[in-house]
Amino acid sequence: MTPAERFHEIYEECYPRVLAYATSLVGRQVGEDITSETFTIAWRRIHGDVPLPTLPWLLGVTRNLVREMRRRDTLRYLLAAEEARRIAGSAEDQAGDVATVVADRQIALQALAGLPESDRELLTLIAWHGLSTKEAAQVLTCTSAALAVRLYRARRRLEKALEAAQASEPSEAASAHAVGTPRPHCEGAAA
Amino acid sequence: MKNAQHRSKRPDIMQVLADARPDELDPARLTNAARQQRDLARIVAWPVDGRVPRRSLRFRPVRTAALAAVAASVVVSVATFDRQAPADGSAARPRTSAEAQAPGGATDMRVDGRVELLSAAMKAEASPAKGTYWQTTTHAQYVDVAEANGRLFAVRTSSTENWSVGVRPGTKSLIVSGLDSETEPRTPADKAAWQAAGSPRTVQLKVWKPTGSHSIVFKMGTGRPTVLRTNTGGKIYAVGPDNVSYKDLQALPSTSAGLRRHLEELYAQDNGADAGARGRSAWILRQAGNLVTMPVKPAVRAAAYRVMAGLPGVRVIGHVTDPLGREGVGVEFPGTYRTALGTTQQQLVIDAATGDMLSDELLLVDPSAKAEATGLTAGTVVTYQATSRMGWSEHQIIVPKNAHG
Repeated sequence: MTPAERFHEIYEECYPRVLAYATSLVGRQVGEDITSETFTIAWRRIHGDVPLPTLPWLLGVTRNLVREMRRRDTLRYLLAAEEARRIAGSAEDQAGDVATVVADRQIALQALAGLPESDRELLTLIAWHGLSTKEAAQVLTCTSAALAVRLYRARRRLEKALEAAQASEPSEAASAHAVGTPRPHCEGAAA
Repeated sequence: MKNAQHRSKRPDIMQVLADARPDELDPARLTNAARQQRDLARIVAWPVDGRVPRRSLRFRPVRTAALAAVAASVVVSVATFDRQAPADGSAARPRTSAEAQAPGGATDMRVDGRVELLSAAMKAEASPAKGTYWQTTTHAQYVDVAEANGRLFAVRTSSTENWSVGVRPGTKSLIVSGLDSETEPRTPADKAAWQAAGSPRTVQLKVWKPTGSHSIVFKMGTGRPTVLRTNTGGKIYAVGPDNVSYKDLQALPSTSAGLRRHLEELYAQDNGADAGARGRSAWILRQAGNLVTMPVKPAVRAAAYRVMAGLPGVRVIGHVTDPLGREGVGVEFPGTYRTALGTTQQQLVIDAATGDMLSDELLLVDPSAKAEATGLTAGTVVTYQATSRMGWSEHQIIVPKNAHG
């Protein structure tokens, strides 16, 4: 396989996942630009040091690009990050999802949104972007051991936040985001 | 709290979180995003060289399928411009008629090559009209040095590519690459070294890099082809920073002065603040080299050759042989390019008799120790893309059943 073919394979395989990650950081529009920039860097190194597996390395590049943007172009970054937050908080979608499912998702997202940024980053790399703990450590440039500790703590905090969120406003979440056929409120609303 | 207890059969928290992933972040919904295919060609149009300074997040207009996508493996940096017309005794008798037109100080050798290049331009002017699909078939090869069990050997990866661009409304464009793809030891001696290393099915290529010790893995043997569809709203190629349609291609200036001005303007757009004379020749040569393989008017193809012949810092060599053994005129890019195998030089080879592009290749100028140890001497072609067929067809190419894509 020539380097160009290798690049095409990496591109086809990883593009959606890099775009998903970039979108989670800066929204879709800027995310596409960052994704493009990420693969431009990968392309320039295709004869050289693109490591295998490639995805964690690509996400690491994406992350650095976003940080660079944050430093250089703060205003643009803030707008983009706002859009990313909107996306990361939106549970409603597909018709056919029943209200309670949407509500559950909304509660989880709400719990997540309340965590420190470093927790959110780590948890979503694994739960949303499908990385193993070892791969997540590569993206975050820390050791696997350090990452295991961080992950343990982040999970604890998420569990607590989730319990709190479930306790506080299940009915509101359910009714606010119900789509499709209206359903009666579930019994938990009385709590 | 009652509610929380209702849910006490608590699923794994990471699963709960995974289930809550917003659909906008689902990769399955992001495959084949319109931008994905558009960006690919723009990306592979960049030189492959870690040393080129990266543009800091300057978001650029998209481009579409470029010849550069096809010539990807031979794209080269234009970072250094130290040599001009070095003494290469390889070619050429002077021809008096052209000598008078030669710029002052040009060597006879250059004059000779340029005459042939201009003859290619005249032939190009006579090429025939049009059809439905513009098709090229190219053969690419890439050589590198691998190491296994303490033994060094050169490996060669070769493959064929068919690119078919539909120019009539409703027609599609596609690139089938990696046909007959094979990675094998380069010579019998390399084969012996590979066998002595235990005939590994995959080999690691240690790569030159100031930082870190990365390696890439090559699978020995044959590979499957890949199909890439490049239908992006009528835009069929990239010329400089722009996506262009067939209509745009037909509207390109057909005089050498006009075409050169057009390319210089595109260069300024593409390079912005970086613009300067240094990289311009190489950039314009690359674009002109791309244009002659596109379905442009014969006069535009001829103008592109004339533009090449007139570029400062570009050396034109009389008689060279391309990797498929065909004779042509060599057009050398200004400057050299460092790779893991040593310093290399890029050149185009053009058939003066027909006005066709024959090949785009990277030759070793100053081999690294590792390259020399495996017999890759100065003058070895380490990467090439040779065109064996270029022309119109009424029929779309066939995508092999086993193609990825």
